Amino acid sequence: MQALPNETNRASLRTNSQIRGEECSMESGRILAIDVGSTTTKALLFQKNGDHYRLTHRFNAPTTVEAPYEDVMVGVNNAIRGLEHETGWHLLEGGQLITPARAGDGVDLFACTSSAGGGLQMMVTGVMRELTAESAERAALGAGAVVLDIICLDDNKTVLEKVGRIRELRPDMILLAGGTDGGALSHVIAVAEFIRAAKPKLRFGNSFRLPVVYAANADGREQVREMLGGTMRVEVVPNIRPTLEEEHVEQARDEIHRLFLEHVMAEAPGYATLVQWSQSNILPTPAAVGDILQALAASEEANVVAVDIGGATTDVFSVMFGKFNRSVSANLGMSYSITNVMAQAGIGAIMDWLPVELPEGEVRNWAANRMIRPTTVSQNQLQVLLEQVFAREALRLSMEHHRTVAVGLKGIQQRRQVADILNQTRTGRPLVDPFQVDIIIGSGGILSHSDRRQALAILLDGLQPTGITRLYIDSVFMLPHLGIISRVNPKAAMQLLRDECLLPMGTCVAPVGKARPGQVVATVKYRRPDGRAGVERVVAGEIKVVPLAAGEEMALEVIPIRNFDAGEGPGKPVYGTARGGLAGLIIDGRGRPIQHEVRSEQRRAAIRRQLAALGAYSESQLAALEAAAKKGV
Amino acid sequence: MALHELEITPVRTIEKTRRLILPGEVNVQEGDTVEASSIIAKTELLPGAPCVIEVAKELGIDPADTEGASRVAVGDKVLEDQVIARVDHGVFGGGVVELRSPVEGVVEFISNAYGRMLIRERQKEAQPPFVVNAAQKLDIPAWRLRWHTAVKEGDEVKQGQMLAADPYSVYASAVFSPVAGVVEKICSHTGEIHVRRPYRPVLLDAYIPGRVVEVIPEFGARIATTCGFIQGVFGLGFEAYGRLRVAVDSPEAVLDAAAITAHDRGSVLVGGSLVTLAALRRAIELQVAAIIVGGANNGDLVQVLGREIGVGITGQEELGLTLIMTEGFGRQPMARPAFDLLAQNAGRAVSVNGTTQIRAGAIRPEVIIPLDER
Repeated sequence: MQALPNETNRASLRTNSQIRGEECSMESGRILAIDVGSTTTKALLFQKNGDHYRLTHRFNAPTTVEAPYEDVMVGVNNAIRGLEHETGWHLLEGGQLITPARAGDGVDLFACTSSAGGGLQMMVTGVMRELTAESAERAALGAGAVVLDIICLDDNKTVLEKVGRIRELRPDMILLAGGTDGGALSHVIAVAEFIRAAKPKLRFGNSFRLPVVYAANADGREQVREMLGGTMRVEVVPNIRPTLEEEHVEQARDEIHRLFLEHVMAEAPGYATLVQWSQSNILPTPAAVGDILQALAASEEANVVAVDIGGATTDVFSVMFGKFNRSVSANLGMSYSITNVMAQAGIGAIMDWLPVELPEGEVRNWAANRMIRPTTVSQNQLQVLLEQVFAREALRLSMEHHRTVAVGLKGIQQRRQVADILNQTRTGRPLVDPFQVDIIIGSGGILSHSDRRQALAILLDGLQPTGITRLYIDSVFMLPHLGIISRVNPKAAMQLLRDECLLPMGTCVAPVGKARPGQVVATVKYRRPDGRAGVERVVAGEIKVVPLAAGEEMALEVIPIRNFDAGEGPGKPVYGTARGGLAGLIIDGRGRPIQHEVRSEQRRAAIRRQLAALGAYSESQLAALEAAAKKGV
Repeated sequence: MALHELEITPVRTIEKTRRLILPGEVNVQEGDTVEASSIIAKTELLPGAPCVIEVAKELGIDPADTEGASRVAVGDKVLEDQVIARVDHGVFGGGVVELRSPVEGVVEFISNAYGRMLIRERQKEAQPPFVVNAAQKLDIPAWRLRWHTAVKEGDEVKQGQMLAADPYSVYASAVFSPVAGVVEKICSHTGEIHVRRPYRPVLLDAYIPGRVVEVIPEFGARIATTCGFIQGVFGLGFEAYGRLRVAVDSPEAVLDAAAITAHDRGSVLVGGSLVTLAALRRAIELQVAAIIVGGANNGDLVQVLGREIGVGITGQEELGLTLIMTEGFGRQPMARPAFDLLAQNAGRAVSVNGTTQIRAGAIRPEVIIPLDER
């Protein structure tokens, strides 16, 4: 194993890499981007052809951070060798990556993201749960961390429990927040006392000190540094909540990134080599996804929501009016956490999505077996259908959770104008207003690997977009790769995002209100650029698709009936643009939230019609599923 | 036949580290032979909220000086009435002020932020109850006391918890418990509330029979045994031990209620492919220690537990039974090697633990069949 680069080398590496990155963007470059996930290491190779980059090859290998390998480079090398086999190029020489590319071999740029070993696992401490601790949690989540626990003074734990919890969780890093600048110090010092008493142990390696990011009352910096600095590495950043009215998480996030790379990942098995190879920083996977989404939102001047549904967790990212937020529903996923989806949603809510009849006991046993053997792959179409049904509820619950995380600041007095007073709003309100979401992106195994129209159906049913919303699927889970590339070559990253990553599914028009099934709730008028126009009715309980190919657009006018809202208020028309995709213009009359028919026969029939309208399942496929269901899962 | 990818080993050595959470007394020495039910350590320290002493307030000092004024350190044992903090305010400031511990116990925490010391109190057997003159403090007639109580006999109370209140009282509007304990008596004749602190030591058993290979002072010991070992795939309930009885004829058979009798109290039963809901209920009713079976229906377990099984650690369920599934959910014949190993050892005392954690370095339920049984 190569020697760990010292601080000087790391700093110069990044400076040189920035220079090399700029040069790289001007050459006919070959980019290798790798995401080291918790179970799979995904290597993607991009090549420049003229002015454009293309994804040319990809290879996945199992991640090897846990025993018996305990060296992430084994999986990385396996993935790169897989690419060598596919391309016929040499990418490795003498155990080293060939860079820059020469005579057809090697790569010009190597970039890496990681969530392996659970990624960055942090504890967050604060004084009050709903104020500073919540801001600190947002900072940690935005940095791509898994927040193991939040310890506050006003939680229900005794001192022994708080101290014991810090000790037993073995975080990679602790974020200490609390108190406004100039305010009382005793509370934040009390929190520091718990940390000191806990003597937290590290997950990896015993040779370095646990980083503690102090982002609390500025007056406490020296005292906390003195209290903890003997055994821990204390790094000070500006207060996350210098006043109750302000929240500044960016510097805390950046410091967490920096410490993650230099301190945490450098000690994880094999990461020192990965750091040396990487020509830009290694980022936690969710941080990289956040980067590319923010770039997309800025470029499109749109509000973006993206979901990544995994085996153990579902990440939801939003960029609303420029403000980025990320939530991790750490207990909602498609394998490890699937029984928790059942626990939270209720078995009834899950079974309501089934287009075929299945005994509840079989659905339960299938999910429970999935939970205890999380790497199981579905063996038949019926099991795939069950996965998709659970995914809908996982997405719905994760989105609800995200709305509680992505909120305005709590505990503040807003300066009010007369108009504001007349429209009384409570602080801590959700930032993600579904009507304001312009773009939804779906990512993660179940969405990337499903039939595209089935994936679209999952997004529509799970996230239930309202108003006018464009929908995309991340075709090969490329978002993390593009996120890290965007740090070195933003133009290439955005071009790849549009051309290679985001598969356009179409535009959904969904007004909101209550109506009897079959009632017309809105009219959609559209006009294509060549002048062709049309009118469609939005029928309650039904979905209709108007073909509109990717790259095409239509001007829209949505006129809801008196008690339906399409985004501008009840009965008010909304104007927008539909962009095409695999499905086209999707007119969704099911209302929000989607209410199922009470009687099971009618419910299943309605779902079958909706799936058929989307092209997700044909009649013959549904008939085959019906026959399979009679035999059991 | 089920493919069993988890461990099934006829003979191996296992070591278990047994530790108290709070310091106490260890009853064994290195080299001792123990049974599964042997109590190897105990602590009399009271779990829950510790005794809070407002050192800074009592001594009239700045909270930041609390550690400096303390005469004990974290981890020290203290006796009731022992001096735990001291300050000298000088001749003109009031002289020396000493603070004495109200309880016997262990110093758990000293805070300079809040000026407090926390002492984990040691329980004592046969203590007289604490008597609170509630009616007198509230300035109400004794016969009216029950109108104003916030607790009733048998309630557990924490130190500082309100026992009674009268918002119209001239002197005090509320009366609080000076200690953690159980309300033993509310007397309408004397106007007193008695709070007894029950003696409930935490006892730690060996869990497996074997030999003590290491003593961990004040906390416990490490115990080794030669055994057969079966790893399950999912479990519920915590540690249990009992005599092994194979209650079915084959790994494919279903364990139903009729196969469980009153003689099975305290036993560890082996089922085949499935344990029915009726059998689970019967086993709990008859106080069977544990069931080892190939499979069980998720819906049945939810009914028995009264809640859904989410993700995370199992083992803390108060089911009244430990359940170990070797194959999975639904009807799943037990792997033949596991069934045979259990059948060969029928009649032995076995130890089981249903604790399961699927992610983050999986913990799986276990069956330990000690082979050195005396």
